[in-house]
Amino acid sequence: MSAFGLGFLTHVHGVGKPQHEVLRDLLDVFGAAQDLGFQGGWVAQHHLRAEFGRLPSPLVFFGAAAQRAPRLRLGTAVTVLPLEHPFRLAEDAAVLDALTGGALELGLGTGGANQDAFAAFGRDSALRREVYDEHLTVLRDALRGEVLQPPAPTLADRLWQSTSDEERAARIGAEGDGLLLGTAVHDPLTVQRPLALAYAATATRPRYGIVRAVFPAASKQAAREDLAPALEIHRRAFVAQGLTELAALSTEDYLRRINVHHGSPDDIVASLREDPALTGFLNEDSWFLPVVQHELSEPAADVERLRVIAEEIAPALGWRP
Amino acid sequence: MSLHLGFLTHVHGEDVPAGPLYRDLLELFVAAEELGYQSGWVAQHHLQPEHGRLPSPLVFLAAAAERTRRIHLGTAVTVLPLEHPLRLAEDALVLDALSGGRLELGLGSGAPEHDAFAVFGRDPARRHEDYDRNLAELVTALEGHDLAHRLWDSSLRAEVLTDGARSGRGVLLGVGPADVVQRGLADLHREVPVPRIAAVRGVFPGPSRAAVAAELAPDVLRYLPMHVQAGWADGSTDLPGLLRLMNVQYGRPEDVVASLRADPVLAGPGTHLIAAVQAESSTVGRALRRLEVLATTIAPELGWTP
Repeated sequence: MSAFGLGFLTHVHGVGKPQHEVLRDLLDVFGAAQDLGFQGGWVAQHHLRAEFGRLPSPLVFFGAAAQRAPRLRLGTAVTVLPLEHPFRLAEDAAVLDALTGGALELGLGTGGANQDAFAAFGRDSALRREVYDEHLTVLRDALRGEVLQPPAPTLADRLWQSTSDEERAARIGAEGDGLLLGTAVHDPLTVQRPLALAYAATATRPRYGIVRAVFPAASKQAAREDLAPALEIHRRAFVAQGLTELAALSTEDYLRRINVHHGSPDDIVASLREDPALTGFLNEDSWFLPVVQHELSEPAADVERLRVIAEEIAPALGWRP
Repeated sequence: MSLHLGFLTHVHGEDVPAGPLYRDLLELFVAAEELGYQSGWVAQHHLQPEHGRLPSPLVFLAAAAERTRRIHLGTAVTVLPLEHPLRLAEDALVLDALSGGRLELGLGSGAPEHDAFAVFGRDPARRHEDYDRNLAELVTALEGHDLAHRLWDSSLRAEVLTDGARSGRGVLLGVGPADVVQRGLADLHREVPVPRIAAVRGVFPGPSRAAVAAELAPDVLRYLPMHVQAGWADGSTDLPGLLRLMNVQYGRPEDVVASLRADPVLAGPGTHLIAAVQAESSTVGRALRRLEVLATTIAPELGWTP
């Protein structure tokens, strides 16, 4: 039995590309990932983004992806719950789940990375946690209740939540949901591990979806050179969000700060094994979710990185297709 | 201009689980494309366990987009008062991109069902105001996108259709007797440079008018109270009378050809025939056989070619 499920996560970048090309590329990546033996394809929802984070409608995309890659489980990491009508979301999720025979894994977040979009939806980002809690109650009641059509009774067992708060992590465990870990600015040792431990202490059915940026190349140096232009875009966005301490870091230090595992497959296996919030938590109900797309990458390069992960890196960590 | 032929289903399925129902429906879209249909439309309904089983047309149509290449994919209708207009615009643009510009987004105010409106925190009595406000926001959100030219109104309010004609939206005419209600509404779009006036018509070919009427009776009689309430029917309205008020085309293929030729919208300014081929108790398989007869036997008589 495999030690964990292998998926991948994309934030759906595509600078300068029309939307139809971005989505067609994304469908191609889903199809290729299925062929490589990946078990899940996960996407992030972003609103009102023109260059990076191009997918506001993960469940509509999944309607198409399920036809292209019918063996993949389809996950969101995350759906920005405060900006959804929770009953309407339940309907979309239930339709997708019926259409795919139960392939959906629905990951939810408060939208910390989408705060600029709240006003357009008539929401105050300062209240995002309160709205999240209200919406989660409605969503869960809808999934478990008698009113929702089509019914989706098992979908309530496939909810995942992301948080940066240990008390909330404990609550997620007690509620029986999975825990998504790996927001880029969360340090594995000092932030992610305590979140995972708080969750583990209460979890009735512990399962983790752990996101890690993974960029295999010939060497660490080659990976850094490949990543450098995208990293500057990435860094500017974080600095603009107020993380000004990132501005002065060297490329090497910055890559470490945002948890980018890079280098030869052996380098990456070694650094993933040392990660204090990864292999110790993964179990057979959990997902390892590498991110292989950077802000400027092309789909062929993304697929090549997925190939190296499926053939060389994940097996070394105990994964079996 | 030659007739555009589309089909519509309300996604009925008595005693069929949603998964198999949706997957059968996908096959219907694939088959319809092969038959030459230019568009396939689904209706959105909330909270319906037997009739009107699809609350999320855009999720379903994304799957249909991946299974087809040419056929346009429509909603007839999306219940606009119950959608967040910006969120709807996002979903619609993603689907439009996935499908290569094949979405036709039909909008309506919805039937005033209290339960459905209540779960969304809306009041059915205010659904027309909600429609107007959400439409304005949707149109703003779609500005500059091709999809803005593939919007349709379904409304009995003349002011909505007048504004739609001015703004380049099409009109979907389904509810209301064609002669006393729809023809007048269709004429509001007559002077549009490239009018899009769709007659949505139940099309039920069978062995004879009497046989099909008898088969449809349980499915259509449920609509009599609504027609009485609207003032179109009264206590003396019989089954053939109700079928006429509902613009249902039924009987042998030649009967259907004759009644479509006499249809006040299609004989007048109508540009699209959208055939509703699934009644409440019809299976998807039954709907497919009706699509075959319509495309191969009936529509060619009206000058349609696939």
